[in-house]
Amino acid sequence: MVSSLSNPDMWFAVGLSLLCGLLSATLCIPWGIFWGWIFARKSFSGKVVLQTILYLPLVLPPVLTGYFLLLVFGRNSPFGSFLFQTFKLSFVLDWKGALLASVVVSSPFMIEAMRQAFLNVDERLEWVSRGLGADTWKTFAKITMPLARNGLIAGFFLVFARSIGEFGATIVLAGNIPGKTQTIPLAIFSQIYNGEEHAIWPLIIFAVIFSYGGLAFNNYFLRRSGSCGAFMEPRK
Amino acid sequence: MFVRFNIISKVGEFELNIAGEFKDGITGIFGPSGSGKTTLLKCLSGVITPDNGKIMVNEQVCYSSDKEQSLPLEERRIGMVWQDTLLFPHMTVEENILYGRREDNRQSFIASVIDIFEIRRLLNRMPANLSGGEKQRVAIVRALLPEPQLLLFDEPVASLDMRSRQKIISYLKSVNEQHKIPICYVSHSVSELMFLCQEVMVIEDGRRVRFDSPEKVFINEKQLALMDEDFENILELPVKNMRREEQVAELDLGGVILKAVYHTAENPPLLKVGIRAKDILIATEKIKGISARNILSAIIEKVERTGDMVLVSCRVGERQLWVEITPGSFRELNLHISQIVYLIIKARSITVLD
Repeated sequence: MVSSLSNPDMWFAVGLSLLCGLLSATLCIPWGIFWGWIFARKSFSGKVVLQTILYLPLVLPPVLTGYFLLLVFGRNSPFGSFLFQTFKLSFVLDWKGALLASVVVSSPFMIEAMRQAFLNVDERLEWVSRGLGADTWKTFAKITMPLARNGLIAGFFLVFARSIGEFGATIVLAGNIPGKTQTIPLAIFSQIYNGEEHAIWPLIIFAVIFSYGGLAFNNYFLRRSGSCGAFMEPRK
Repeated sequence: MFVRFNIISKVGEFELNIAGEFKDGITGIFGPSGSGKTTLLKCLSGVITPDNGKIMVNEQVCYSSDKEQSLPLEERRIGMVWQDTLLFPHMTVEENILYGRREDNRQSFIASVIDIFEIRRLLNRMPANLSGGEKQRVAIVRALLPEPQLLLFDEPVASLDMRSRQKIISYLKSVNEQHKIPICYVSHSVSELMFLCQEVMVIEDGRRVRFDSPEKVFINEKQLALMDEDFENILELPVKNMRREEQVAELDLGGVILKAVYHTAENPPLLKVGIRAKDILIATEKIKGISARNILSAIIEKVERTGDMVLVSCRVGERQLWVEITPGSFRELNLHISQIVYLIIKARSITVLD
């Protein structure tokens, strides 16, 4: 166990997991706010279909999500080759692929968190704001968003926790290259596979700390937003 | 100043089909639950876009189905106050009331409204730490500061206790008189509407069934049957004399003195008082040896039978007082119009409203 602590690849995996978790949670915010608001406040035909499509990564086998991403972003696809030629941007066998996989797989959590957060904001407060002369944007910035803030922070931590656990889509898109694309779950997988189980304990500890921390903060802010936390009884 | 509308709005099975015109002053809207009162206010303020018709405020077209025009809420300059105050919970009282303030608001206007509603000491508090009456006062001040063209009230005092209610409705009356902002006031309370309004529109099942002065609407119609609260006489009376040693104010009913329990160091020229109709007794002969301070000679002018009670209107001096009695005592006393009777009112039963 002690020797594994001096292994730079292990530290790389911890660092990459943390980075992917924080970045994907951040990148999901605008996406979650946009769709969460649409689903909470608007009604239009095709809403349920659109919602189902955007929530699909929740239930699709992550390996399949990874395969779809490979089809779209692979360098042989038109879009992938366009990105590579124009921006020198590549996701395949690259740490950015791990990030993209995290974002796509965990984005439904953010949409749902924001949808709930906006539903918890009494719509009549928005009417009052507009009746006092504030336009839609000012109302959103001064009333809706500040009141949905705890829901947003709760969503941030949930996305973070989900990203820490991401495996299937990542291994298909980014591969499992130690020191380059390997995250904590991929490193654990490799070590179990290679019979190096003595070396996985530090990784397990980090995985548990990150996941537990993410969920705990998620619950804390969910409670503050007026929703019921995942393991809590509804408030009487 | 006028508000004119003629609209049809369908919400599910329910259809509101109504026309009317509000002038300066306070117009009441009255009707049973589900009759369309709130829907009408939502159409006027812009929360709901009607299906058909027209809404004009002054010369401004707020909605017109012919011109396919509907002004968004924020451009209508129509304030709305709801029963559950809807203060912004994350802002202090001061931030709440200044939220919709106009750039050209005179400081004196802001200060005067804050003082009329007595909320100066609340400015730094959060809405969660206010009582129901305080919240509603803050909500009204917030609606006033943008100097709206029209103010809509949806049962603003229904959830408050008697004292806060009376306080707020007398504030509203003075706001309307001082600042000339027309008010449309939805309420279930006959005494509030009688005290506040110049005209009352009665709505039933999405249709206007009457539009007249409150006296005509409530006294000549069967509307009293809809009453779900105590009927209260509200009067503004000149103060004749303050008897400080007895802690009693002597008020002038027009040649007849009414004694009310009240103690203050000041000498107000007028006092606003409320007397519940069921707190007044009727006697056919003058009674001696009774603790009540007021035994007033009166003439019966009108009798209204509604449900399980009888309302008797009596002239005392130059004023009119409504007395509520049971049908049994009405029969036994053999009361009739033009009869001379004595009204017995305890000085304690008279509430000073200011």
